[in-house]
Amino acid sequence: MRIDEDSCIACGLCVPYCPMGAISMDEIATIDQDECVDCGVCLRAEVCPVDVFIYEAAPWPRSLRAVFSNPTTEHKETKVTGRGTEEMKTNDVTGRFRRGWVGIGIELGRPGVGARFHDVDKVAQAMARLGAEFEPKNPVTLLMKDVGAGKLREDVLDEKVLSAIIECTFPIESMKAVLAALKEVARDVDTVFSVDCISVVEPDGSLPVDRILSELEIPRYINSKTNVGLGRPLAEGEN
Amino acid sequence: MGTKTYGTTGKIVRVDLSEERIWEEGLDEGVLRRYLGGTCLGVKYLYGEVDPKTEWSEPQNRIFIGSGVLGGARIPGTGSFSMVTKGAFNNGAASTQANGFLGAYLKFSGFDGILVQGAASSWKYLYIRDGLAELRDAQHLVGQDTWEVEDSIKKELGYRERGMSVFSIGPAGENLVRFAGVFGDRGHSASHNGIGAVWGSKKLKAIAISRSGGSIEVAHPAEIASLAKKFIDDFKQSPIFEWGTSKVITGGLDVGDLPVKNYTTNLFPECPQFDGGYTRSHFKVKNHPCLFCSSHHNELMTVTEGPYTGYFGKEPDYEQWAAWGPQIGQTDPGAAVMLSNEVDRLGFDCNEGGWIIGWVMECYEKGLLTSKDLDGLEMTWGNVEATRALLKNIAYRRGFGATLAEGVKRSAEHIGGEALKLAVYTMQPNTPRTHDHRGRWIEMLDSCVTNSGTLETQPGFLKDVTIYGLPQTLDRFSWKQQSDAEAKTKGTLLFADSLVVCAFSTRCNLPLLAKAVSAATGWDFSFEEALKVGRRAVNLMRVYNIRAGHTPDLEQPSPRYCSTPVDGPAKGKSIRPHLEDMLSNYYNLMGWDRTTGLPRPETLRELGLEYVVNDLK
Repeated sequence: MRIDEDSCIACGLCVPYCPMGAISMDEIATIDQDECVDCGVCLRAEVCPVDVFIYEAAPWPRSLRAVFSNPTTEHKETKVTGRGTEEMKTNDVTGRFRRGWVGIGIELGRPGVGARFHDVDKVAQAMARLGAEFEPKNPVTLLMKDVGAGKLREDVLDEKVLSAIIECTFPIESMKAVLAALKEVARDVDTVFSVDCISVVEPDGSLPVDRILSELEIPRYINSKTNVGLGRPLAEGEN
Repeated sequence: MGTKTYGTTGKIVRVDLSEERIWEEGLDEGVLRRYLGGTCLGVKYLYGEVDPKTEWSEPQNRIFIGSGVLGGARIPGTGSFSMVTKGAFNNGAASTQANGFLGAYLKFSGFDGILVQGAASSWKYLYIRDGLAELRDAQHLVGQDTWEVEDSIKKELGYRERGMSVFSIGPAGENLVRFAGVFGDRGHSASHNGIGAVWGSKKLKAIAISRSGGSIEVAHPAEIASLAKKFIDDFKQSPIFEWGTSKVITGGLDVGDLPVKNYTTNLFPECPQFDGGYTRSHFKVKNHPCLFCSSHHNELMTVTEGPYTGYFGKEPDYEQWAAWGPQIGQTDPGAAVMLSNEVDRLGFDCNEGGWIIGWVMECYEKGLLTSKDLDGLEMTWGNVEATRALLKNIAYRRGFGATLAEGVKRSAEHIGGEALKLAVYTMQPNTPRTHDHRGRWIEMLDSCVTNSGTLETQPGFLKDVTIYGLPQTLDRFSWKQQSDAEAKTKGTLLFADSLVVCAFSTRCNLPLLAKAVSAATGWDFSFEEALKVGRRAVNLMRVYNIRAGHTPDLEQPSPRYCSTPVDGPAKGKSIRPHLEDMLSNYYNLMGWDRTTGLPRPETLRELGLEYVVNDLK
């Protein structure tokens, strides 16, 4: 995002709208381009009285910022808007996570903080070391030059986004080790992240991941995503 | 040339329209420190350069258009400017301000002020950028309204919306309507005491100033930045920050301060739909702040309900809501938006406009004026389209509009008899703001005694009145407290108008403004010094007006203006028995002679105006 310097009247109305705190007021409003994630909130808020905000699609690799941060931008490869995939949310139709497996989603960055890909890279590599199977349609996976090692391309590492999600699966027996590894890598990461632990509900209504998280005394919020049959047919197999 | 002081450009530009000559003049630091800029500096020029016996319309009259030492200093509201001239409405001193951008852009372009003299032989506009000033032909702009002139000049010179500030006169100023004003920056106005007619008499259609370099050098930038934040934080404590003056109408109704149907009642059941809570949530609004200010004082507004759906313009300010709603018995807020903007475009003062239309409507109701007198218009209460047509007739001086273009006092005197008793005015004449001052005594006194033709003091703007020796809360029906306040706070608003800063965004906070002057200029400027600047302006205007022929016996309200409210919250309260006491107390506290109206020599000496004492000998 940039500012039409000739038009800004330095009123400061836009400043509180930036989720990254990247707009500061000097003689006029200025955007710290390194901190700006091209989320477009300043523009869409329509708060500027003189319409100074201008967005022009950026070249690679900066183009990633809008793709991950601006929910109205469609991701070219996945055809999905935003940062994640459809896959984790509608397991009933995708059948991505089978019994005996756990889906792990790591959501790095939040408004106010954001995330750099070099941090995403650290977490992805930590997961890869435990044998993660990365979701192929996920935007972060698509940035990996070596999916087996969870390594991202070097040219994207300095880019900053509002938030990015790593999606992968593990056999459920690995879950405790995965969570321990995440706690470990969190120390080296300069942002916040939340972890999604996804499993199919047992016939008795219990959740396998809930039991494990409870043993580890990790606070959790249970959240169900259910397909209501309006989309693709139910995934075949043992759901 | 004077030495350049931090915070100022150290010079003004002089423009002689008769000779089409432009030159620069240095500002002495000693003069700047005593007069600062804007109103006070303008009054000094008026006093020194325009003979009080000069008629407002003569080429010898001059217009000062000024910013001040805080202009463009990053503090919210420092884009404002003040104009001083010999006004058309009462042929005395005029001081009138507008917010927006022009004041700061003038300084960014290299000047603290513009001093216009002479009269052009054909219509001209003044274009200023990057230290250069140029007179350009304006024949093609004649007849354009004030919004159209902004569009035309920006297009002609290749400027974007906020790359330039344009203020102009509309048809009303061209046709020398006595209460014509100057309008610009999309709905901002300086419209008191006939400033627009003075522009018109000089064939000056517009002033257009580029944003140019976009900054000025101050002595202590970090201090200015921290004060800017302090001013905004303080401003946020005021309801004006979020609502502008859009809720004043409801507050006014609650205390009998809202004029309804030309002071014939104080009841207005339709008030809730004129309140900002309604208009801002029902109509479409867009932010429209001034330079460096994040308040929502004014918005742009599109009407979305009623017959004027789709009409776009500036959100009316309180006075405009009041004038084009209750004062003329009109109940559609959408129509008020339309009338308010049409008046801005035609280019005259909404206050005088409202008093005229309300008076015509009451006369029409009572059979004192008929549609035959009014060129076929049926001026029943609240008739929007008839009002629109009459406003246009006034601006073009067509038919009865030519009489009304002289203002309500002169029109009422022209008709005479019963009609004269119905008009709201002061004897000077000054135009009261669109309030019912029978519920706001201090402002009735202020309107009668003002030396600038308009509001001269306003304790309501002040964050803290105790520093002026007043109780924190004033009894609004105590003649003593009200006249004490009028005298003791005199100079506060005129100091703000000399800087020139917005009284809302700075809350006219003199101690803090004095600090800001120090930070901008590097002087050690005190609160006491600040108050003296304002008082210097008042006393200079005072002497000037009396030498121009104004007399103390003209400092009176018209019979209707000081009548007793028949209903509402101020029912039965009458200022009339207390007026003489108020005036005497005020004169005494001001250090003025009650008989001649002149400041006493010691009053002038305390303000360093020894040369005025000599002039009066």
